[in-house]
Amino acid sequence: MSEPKTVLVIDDDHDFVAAIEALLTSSGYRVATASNGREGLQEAKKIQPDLILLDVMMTERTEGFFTLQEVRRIPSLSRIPVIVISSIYTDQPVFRVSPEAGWLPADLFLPKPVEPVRLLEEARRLMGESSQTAAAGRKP
Amino acid sequence: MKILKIPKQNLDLFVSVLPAFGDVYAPVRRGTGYAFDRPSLWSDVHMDYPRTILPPKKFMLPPREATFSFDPVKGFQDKLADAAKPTVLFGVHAYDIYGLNILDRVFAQGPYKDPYYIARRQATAIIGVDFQPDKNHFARSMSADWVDTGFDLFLSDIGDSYLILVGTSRGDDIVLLSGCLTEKPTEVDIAEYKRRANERREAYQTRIELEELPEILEMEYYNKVWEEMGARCLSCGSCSMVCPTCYCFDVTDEVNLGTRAGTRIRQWDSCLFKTHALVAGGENFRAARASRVKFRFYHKQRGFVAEYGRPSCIGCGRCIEVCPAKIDIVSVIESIRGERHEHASSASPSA
Amino acid sequence: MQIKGAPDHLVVVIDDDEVMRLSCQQILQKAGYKVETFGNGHAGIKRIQEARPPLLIVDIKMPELDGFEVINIVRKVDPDLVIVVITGYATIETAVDAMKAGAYDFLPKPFTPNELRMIIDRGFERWRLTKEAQRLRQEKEEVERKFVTLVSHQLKSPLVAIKQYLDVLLFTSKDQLPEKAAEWVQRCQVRLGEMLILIQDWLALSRIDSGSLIDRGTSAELGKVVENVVSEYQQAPGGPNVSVRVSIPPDLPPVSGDPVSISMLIGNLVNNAVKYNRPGGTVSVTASQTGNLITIEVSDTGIGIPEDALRHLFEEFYRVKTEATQNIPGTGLGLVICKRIVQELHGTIDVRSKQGEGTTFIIHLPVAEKKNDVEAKSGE
Repeated sequence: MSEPKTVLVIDDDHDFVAAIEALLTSSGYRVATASNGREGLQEAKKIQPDLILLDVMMTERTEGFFTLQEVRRIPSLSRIPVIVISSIYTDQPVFRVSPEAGWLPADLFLPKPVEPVRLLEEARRLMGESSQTAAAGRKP
Repeated sequence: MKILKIPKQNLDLFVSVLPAFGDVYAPVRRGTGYAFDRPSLWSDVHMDYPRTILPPKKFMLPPREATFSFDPVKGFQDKLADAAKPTVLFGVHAYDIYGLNILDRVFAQGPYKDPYYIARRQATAIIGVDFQPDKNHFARSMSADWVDTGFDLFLSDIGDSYLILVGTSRGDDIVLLSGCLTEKPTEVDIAEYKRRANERREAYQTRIELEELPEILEMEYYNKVWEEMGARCLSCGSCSMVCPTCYCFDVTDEVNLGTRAGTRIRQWDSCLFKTHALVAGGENFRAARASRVKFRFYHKQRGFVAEYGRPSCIGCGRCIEVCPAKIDIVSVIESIRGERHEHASSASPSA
Repeated sequence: MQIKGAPDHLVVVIDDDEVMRLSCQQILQKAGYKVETFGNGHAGIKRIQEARPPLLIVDIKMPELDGFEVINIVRKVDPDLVIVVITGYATIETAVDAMKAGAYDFLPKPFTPNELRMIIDRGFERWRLTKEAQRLRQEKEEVERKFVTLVSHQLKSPLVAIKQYLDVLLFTSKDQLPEKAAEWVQRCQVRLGEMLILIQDWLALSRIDSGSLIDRGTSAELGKVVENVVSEYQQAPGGPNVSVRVSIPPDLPPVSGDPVSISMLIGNLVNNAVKYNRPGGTVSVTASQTGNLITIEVSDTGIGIPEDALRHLFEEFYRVKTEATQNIPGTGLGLVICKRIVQELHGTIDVRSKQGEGTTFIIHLPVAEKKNDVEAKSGE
């Protein structure tokens, strides 16, 4: 039987983390958590998760974006699939630098609150294959 | 030139879009100073910084770089590809951009073009920002307080927003991607920009007179101020390291022990180093420290002028801040000019 | 009352007559104003552009640039500038023309020092009040903006957390909950969901009103936007059994307006078309181009809208109240948002409906203007 996969959840909302952790462990995943970008990167380097769930807005409005760029830049982490979760994604127009424009190298964007079925489907999909965006590289 | 405006509250989003164009480096705190480094949070970035410890030349001309490697089996391997890593420098002051433009004249123009420098220069997007001069800035005297080329975007503070001047098509790509964060400037904004530009020009506390300086330096070649400088100078070379337009480099081959493989290394050199003017055969043209100190000033304010038409000093004040012996280019030039007048009046025949 | 003579209180005088310039200067300086005089329109206009003074005194009859031409130019530079027109050729017609051109007041020569002072004092007061009103308006907008940010974060955050807990609770422990509990959790989810949508809609509306939602300068590819909207709908689990058909020609030019606003527009309409449909029904989204307009039609095979409801359809919080719509949730803001978005983009929205058969919404939006190629400066 293969090792259970690990998901790293980086979010400063403790309630959200608790709920998602319960969801993921009940589906057989191991879960690690961090409450800000810096901690998240440290943890990621340590445990090499199979998937990262990253909130955009933590202690600072764009913290998630900066963290995501770092993940893609660090060679040991760059292939890990990342789902960016955001309660502000569909909301505020000022964040409308559209993710679809391809400037943010995440594998998927999900709005909060996350639908359990959707999250599990996407997690399964992303952990079954290596990250496409990391392999594709970025615009020159 | 296309001109847009971005409210300051949108800057964090703007900077988080920049990574699409390369690794982003911005001015962050480093000890008691500032340095261009990758910010891990928007709050790490300090837009109002006086100067960085090292100038942006470290990105175009790294302190130490491997240009190629050689190996009896693999042969010659050019490291040029490593040089073309997309990078974004955010928050570069005008005098530093001017400094890069000067380095362009040395490395990217003329009959001998440096492919490594050029690859880096082309792969690096430059986003400039204006600044408030402090007592060690004298860029205005060196005509380097303003640039109209050499940047992709230039941000100018107009209160609660920045005006964005678009300099290249890459700069245009950046503003297109972050389109919803920018607005069209109004006439009021343009008026504010002009007003602040005037204020900034008046705000320089330190000025030096450049007129006739090359000639005066020629006349004052044997002035005793150089001996005084020589006695104080430690030959540490810090001034060259932090200078945006110092570009002397040394080339060595580092060979792997026991094999015939190795790497060619280019690294920063300084005319202040004792061995800088040492040639094969053992002759050292500038063995005395005083002569080396003099040489650096002369090269910056006279020698470079002869070859390129303007001094290579851009008035950033880094050398003034970093020198452990507190040798200050402004005081040196002032005393050279002052002493000359003294000589002239004592030498002039009575009417 | 501010101190006169402070640098703000600059009066610019433009008159080719030197005597007139000097006397205006003397009279007004004694009254505490700072006065700068110019013998021709060009010099005066330049100074006005630089200094943005509150007041301008200008003569009508001047060689080169006459008073009316000066007024025309400076009103564009600073619409708040208070202009007093003086002239020796005083007729009712000239007075009327001056006021029409944008002057605040009209003073025929010869005038007494008192008359000049009074008009300038009044004019200055008027300028001061205008600036005050502007400042208050800005403050109000700032407060509104902060309020909207407050609502979006502080109100929404806890609701999102609560719903997330409930979603996970139901998903992981449904079988372990007593029957009533499971039902009640579901009801909580539904009501919370409604609250979240209401907050979202209300925020969208206030952003449209403040002008910060819609980006008129960009364009959107309809095919892509509709594809995204429809795929989001299709991914929603447990949705009603309604199929969505899309027919958009691939060579359709982009429509004016940013993708997010257009997405919101289409999304709301598709959402309604699905909600008010019959089981097994269809929704179809089509688009076509006629001249400089793009026509989008979203139609459904649903319950339709009664005729007397049609004219209230786009009102805030209006919801059709019939037996058929009793159990259909909604905020009553969806169509308001659609209408405002369409209006901001200089388009139109219309509705055709037959009760029992279906409804079609017809939107016209202008084709996006082609962007001019930017002159690229030569790079490094």
